[in-house]
Amino acid sequence: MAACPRVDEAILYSLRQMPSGEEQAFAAHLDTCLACRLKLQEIQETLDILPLTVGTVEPPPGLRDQVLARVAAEAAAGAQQKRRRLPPVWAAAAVLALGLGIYSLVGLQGLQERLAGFQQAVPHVERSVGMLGTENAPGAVARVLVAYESTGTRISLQAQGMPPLESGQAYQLWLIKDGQRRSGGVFVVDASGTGGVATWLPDRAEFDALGITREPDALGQQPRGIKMLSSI
Amino acid sequence: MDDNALMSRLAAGDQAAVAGLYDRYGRQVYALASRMLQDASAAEDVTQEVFVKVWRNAPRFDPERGRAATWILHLAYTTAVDLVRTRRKAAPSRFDDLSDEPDPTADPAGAAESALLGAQARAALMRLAPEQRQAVEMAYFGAMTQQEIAQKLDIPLGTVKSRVRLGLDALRQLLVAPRRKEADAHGRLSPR
Repeated sequence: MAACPRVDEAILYSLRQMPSGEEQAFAAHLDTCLACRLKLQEIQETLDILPLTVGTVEPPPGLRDQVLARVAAEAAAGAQQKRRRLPPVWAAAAVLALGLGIYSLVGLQGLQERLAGFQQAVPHVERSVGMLGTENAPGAVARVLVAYESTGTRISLQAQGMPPLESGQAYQLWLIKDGQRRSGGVFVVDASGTGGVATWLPDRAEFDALGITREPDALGQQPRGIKMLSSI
Repeated sequence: MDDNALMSRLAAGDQAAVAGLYDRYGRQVYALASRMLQDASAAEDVTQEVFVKVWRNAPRFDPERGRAATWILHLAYTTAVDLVRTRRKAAPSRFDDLSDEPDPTADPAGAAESALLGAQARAALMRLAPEQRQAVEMAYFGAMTQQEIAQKLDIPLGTVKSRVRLGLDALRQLLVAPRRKEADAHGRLSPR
């Protein structure tokens, strides 16, 4: 079999180091080039062993339940989509606001003013955390401001570039501490993908990281939807 | 119940099969993500994402093309690579220093076969020339492009390409080729 001049590209392809355009072109080339296919198979067999060099690490105890909850939510969402019967988000959000003790669920109109007011009212913002979209929300960004007071924690979030929600869905902010998730509020976005929420929690809400998920409704006490943004 | 049976149940819509696969491979997925991202919270995100992808893509899994374990760890790798690169764009310095050593919190009590293969793989990795091992680890676990490695190590791109290629060739000779010979001798070929 004649060697192909592109055979070395198989390494880049296996390691996902090609720009997407070149990756697609090489994938098409693979369809017609046995030498490159065999080389790719060789490399992939070797790379497949590398994860085993890491061994195993026990995940946090709550992670298994979160995985199963997300799968259950995906399964339910699939079934729900088939039925095309979704509850209105604002009714659900209102219930959640009561259930979680959320101080206020900010509407889209006047969001900037409310957040500016929040910052003026709480001059000592102790944490300002940037968030970046995952592969599920490329281009999305958010800023979360946290102020600890003697009676609780004020949290404000402003997000931009968020993908649109389907009817009934909501975005939810999660405070992650020692692997446990706690809701930091739910919100929806306008047509431009902008939205936010201001929340008060009745204790000192510490966290190691933040996440925003897209939830099938605004009622969840634990994440069920996919991760859209992570703190950086 | 073996992995293929669990995958078949999953493809048929049995959510409980996810629990079985998580119990078998959750620790490996989490370990790989922890190693690549150096961030426990992000490793949790990746682990969640991987098993949701397993659920979504189960109908497309073909046992003739490879083992479920390999498929799941490959999903873990690609998911972690994407997150590493997204985060690196946002905060380049976080990913400058990658540990060359396995995670000290690694739990050696995995499945016997995986543990044995893992020990063999670690030994093989350590037998590589140090510069080859470094290049392979930066490319694989660090999700760095060969250009990025060249810049980081201040060496020519061609040198990086050679080190990665020679390192992978050597690993193959140490690990994959003997397994293939053994499989051939027993009259069974690896499906991939």
